[in-house]
Amino acid sequence: MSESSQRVEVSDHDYRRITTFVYDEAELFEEKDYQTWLSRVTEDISYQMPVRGVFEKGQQSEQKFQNGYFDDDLDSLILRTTLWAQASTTVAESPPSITRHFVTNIRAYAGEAAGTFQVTSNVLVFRIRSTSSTPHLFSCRRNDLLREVDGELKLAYRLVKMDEPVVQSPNLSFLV
Amino acid sequence: MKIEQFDPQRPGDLVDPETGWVNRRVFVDADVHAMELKRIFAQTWLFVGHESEVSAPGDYVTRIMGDDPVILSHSSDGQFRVFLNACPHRGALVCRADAGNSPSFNCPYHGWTFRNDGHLHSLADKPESYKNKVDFDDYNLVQARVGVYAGLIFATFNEAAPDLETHLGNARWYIDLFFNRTPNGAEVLGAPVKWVANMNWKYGAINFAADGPHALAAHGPISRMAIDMPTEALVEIAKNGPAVRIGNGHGCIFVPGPPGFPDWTGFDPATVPLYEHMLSAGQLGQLKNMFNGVMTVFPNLSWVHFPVTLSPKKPPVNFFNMRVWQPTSASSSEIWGWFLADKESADEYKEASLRLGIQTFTGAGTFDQDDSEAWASMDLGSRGTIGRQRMSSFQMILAGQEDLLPDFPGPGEAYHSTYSEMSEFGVLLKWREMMQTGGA
Ligand code: FES
Ligand SMILES: [Fe+2]
Repeated sequence: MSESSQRVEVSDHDYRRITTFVYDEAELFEEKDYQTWLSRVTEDISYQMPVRGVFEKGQQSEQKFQNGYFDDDLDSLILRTTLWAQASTTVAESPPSITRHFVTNIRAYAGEAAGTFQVTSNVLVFRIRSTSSTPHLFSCRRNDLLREVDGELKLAYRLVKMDEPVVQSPNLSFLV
Repeated sequence: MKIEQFDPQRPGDLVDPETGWVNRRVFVDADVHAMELKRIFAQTWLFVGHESEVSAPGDYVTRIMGDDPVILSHSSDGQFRVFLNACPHRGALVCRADAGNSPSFNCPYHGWTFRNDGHLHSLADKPESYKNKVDFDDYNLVQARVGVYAGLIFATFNEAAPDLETHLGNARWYIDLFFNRTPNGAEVLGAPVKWVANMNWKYGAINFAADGPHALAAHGPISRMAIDMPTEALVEIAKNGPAVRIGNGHGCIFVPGPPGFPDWTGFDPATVPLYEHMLSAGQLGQLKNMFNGVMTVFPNLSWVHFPVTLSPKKPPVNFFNMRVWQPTSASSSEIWGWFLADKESADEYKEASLRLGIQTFTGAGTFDQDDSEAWASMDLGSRGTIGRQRMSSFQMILAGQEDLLPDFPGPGEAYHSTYSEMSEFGVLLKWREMMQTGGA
């Protein structure tokens, strides 16, 4: 709760727009319609998923450099998703993995800049790969920044805090 | 050809040095796996961390050696020490965090405490309660032998193992190219990422020793996009890049740039001039035209270094990924991956290098995502009752061994091509030797 206590809640109307954006996005990921998804991100998007660790209280060191699984801008997102979307361009997604995105705990607040929203949510991804019919469940928290661009909501920043210190899946060729 | 019968005490026989055939039990059999934990991982030097991960006194990280949890501690007396992460009382982990800084380790069960140099500090009860019937010297944390080369910290619990310098041998010439090329050496950029691959650890070690032809088969489209060379050119340079059988199971490949490739592409222009102070003429010559360098230090430490860009607007920058293949079970490995850079590089260069590394060589990496599926496929295709009787082929060695490069500047045996399977098979030859004799 601490991260949200001083924030300004959005109107019901905006909350509705934001949840629609978030649920639409989950469906686009499931359908692997990355073309449409890319039309809903800003040109300066930053998409990050840093490494997770286990530390004693107060011992999590402030690392100068942050290792992780994703640290993408628009160009690298285009490249990744182009590989995933086309047949036979990656071993990882040929055949495509099956994913289902469960998005919950959606909260939305006014962002610092006008026309922006801070949105947090929890996501559970159920995923089957061609080499494993045993599902991998991937749990994470998202801190998003949405921005109004020409009257449409777009994703400008996403920090994915994934909950596995050791990711139990051989690859992460999907987005959350 | 099949090896139907083999002496379970001599699993090394499953690798045929003459023909390049390897029985697939080597990669899928649980008994073979249990034996290699004893005959390889408990016998030889294993990488546990880089100096820059534990740079201050009191710093520690927890690691795995084979199937044993250990602590790498920069103890308050300034020494790097490696302990079995097990309480001398009843065996509980005395440290359960990934990393931190502490003067002591405290057992969660009966509360015994240990200084960060491994010495028993306090017990649940007063020492006098034992009425002098117990020798407390037996109650310090079990310490491994520790050796450091070029900032890389290795350890072994085997008192009889030859020293680290002997184990690394000729590999030091190649390690220097990556970790010892500036006065301050390399540093890690953040903590390791860790993910599970459904495969035997040797598939990783062999792939990085290294496997030239898989690069374009498994990573063709991403290679073209991230490297900006036509496929034919990439195949050409890979076929003409040397594969070095360094000795002791260590192996590497160098893929040179194509004709017209500018020297030092992707390197940090600020640190390249420093290399001249640290490297020999032969080493500099090898490095300046290096497009792709990939290496395995036997048994399970590897790295890969090459320039990529995932943006048409940005020039390629080298990333430098180091990883350990943790032998979790016959068919599963944890991959622990770090990124490094020359310590003297500016933060901006380090950040660009790290970002490209994350985008290419992690569990979500645009290269690694393919290997992990290919490796999982090899495991599935090889582990059945019939499948495990079949042979994996390294038979390109029959041709490749004839193309020894006479004037390669580095030590060991350099062969003409990364397609030769010579350096890859070298990993299995060392594996064979250790699995036959049961020791280093
Ligand atoms: S097991 Fe550690 S104090 Fe008893
Ligand atoms: Fe690969």
